[in-house]
Amino acid sequence: MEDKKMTFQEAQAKYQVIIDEIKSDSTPEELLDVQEKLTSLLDELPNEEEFDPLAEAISDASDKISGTITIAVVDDIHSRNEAFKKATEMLNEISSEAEGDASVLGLKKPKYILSSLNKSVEQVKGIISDAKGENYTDAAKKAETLIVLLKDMKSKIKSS
Amino acid sequence: MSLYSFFNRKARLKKFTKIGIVSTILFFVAVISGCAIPDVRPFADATTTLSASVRAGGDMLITPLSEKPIWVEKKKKYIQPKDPEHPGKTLEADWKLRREAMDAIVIYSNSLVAIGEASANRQESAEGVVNEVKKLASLIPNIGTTINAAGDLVVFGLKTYIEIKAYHDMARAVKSADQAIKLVAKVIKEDFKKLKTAHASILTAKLTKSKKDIRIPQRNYEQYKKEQKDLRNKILENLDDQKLRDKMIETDALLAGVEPEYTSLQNQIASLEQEKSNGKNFFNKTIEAINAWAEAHAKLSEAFEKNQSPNLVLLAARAQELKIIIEEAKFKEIIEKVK
Repeated sequence: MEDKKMTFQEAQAKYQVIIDEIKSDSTPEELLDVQEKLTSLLDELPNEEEFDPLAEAISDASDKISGTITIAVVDDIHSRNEAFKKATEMLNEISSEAEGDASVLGLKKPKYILSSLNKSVEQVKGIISDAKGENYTDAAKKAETLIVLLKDMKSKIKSS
Repeated sequence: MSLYSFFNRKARLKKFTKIGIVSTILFFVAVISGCAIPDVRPFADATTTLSASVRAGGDMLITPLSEKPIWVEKKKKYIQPKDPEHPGKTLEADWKLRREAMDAIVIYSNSLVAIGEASANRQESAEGVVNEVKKLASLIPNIGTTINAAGDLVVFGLKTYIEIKAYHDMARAVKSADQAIKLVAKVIKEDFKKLKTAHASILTAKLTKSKKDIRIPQRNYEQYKKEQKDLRNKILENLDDQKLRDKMIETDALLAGVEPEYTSLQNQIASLEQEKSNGKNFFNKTIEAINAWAEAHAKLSEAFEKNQSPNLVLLAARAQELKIIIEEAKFKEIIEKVK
């Protein structure tokens, strides 16, 4: 049996039924459903000049529904902003503590102190040896290096 | 055996017995404390991928939205993109908070990895400290030999200390963050459900417009195509009819005139349909991935609570799947098409 061709009046009635589904409290999902139904109706319309104004109306309605959906979605997303602010703050605190923990676990500080101590002791030994050999210029240079080492160690310990 | 060597052996035996006892105690402390540090890298990788998809998801809507006049039903008018009240501007500012939250989660997951790495490198770190101590002792007379003998025990002790501390540090961080992770997962999921609707809606409006626009070119194309076929049949019957030949040339020209627009609109419709389907797939997969990701973190927290090893293999697989979706979807191209 051949499919009966849709008349303009039938198409217009179908369009009206779909548009009537839009309520003031329709959710974005319900509105999207209306939009999909309009697209399906457009697919069904015979491609004849007579139906062009209805095709135009369908396209126009779809664009306006899309605007209503977009505004509702943006408002909905906006309403959850506080949750993100709270979570970000909480996570930043936890991360900063965890990063500190990781640094302690790497034993960077004791390794640094010990290494500086080693260098300092070597300098002290050098100073004693130079002093015994009455090489006071080298002893003084080594003493200066030792002071720099100790100052550097002090500031590193303070900052860590 | 001389009396001296007898006492020397006895003293050495006593010293090794002491080392043995201390080692055993440390070993048991380590076991009791549940020191198996889980490899949290799959979680960190999944977080990085998820962070990228949160950015992509926002851009998929922000970019086309920012350039489109939006109908406001309450005002019964279109808001232009330059208008400060345009929803694209609000969404852009709101999405910045989502990006910041995801950045904070990426930093958090990387800090867990850093704790895990510090624990994994404990042998090297402990040896580093002991070597420095040995070096220092060798510079001071009469201390060197004692430190050398105790070196292995100190390395073992430090290793155990790092392992126990790493476990407890990671457990504390994971437990503290779980509430925030659950919160982010819940709200991001809600956001993505809405983004999915808005994205589908914008594409549906574009599709509807293209389907409306194609009607006249399609009608003309089909009409000229039919005329061309009829003329061809008539010419076959009257090969010498010049009028028919002239009409055929005219029809061919008309067909050639409408064909590019018709083909272009056909391609546009096919591309929008594909884009709509890709977007739906992307948002659905991201929602699935968010669920898996939050669940993995909850499992991690639970595992620390019960001193068990969490299973992060499934999460690693999901993260990989999501990464492939993001790469395959070529979101930049999608955004360009939606404009």
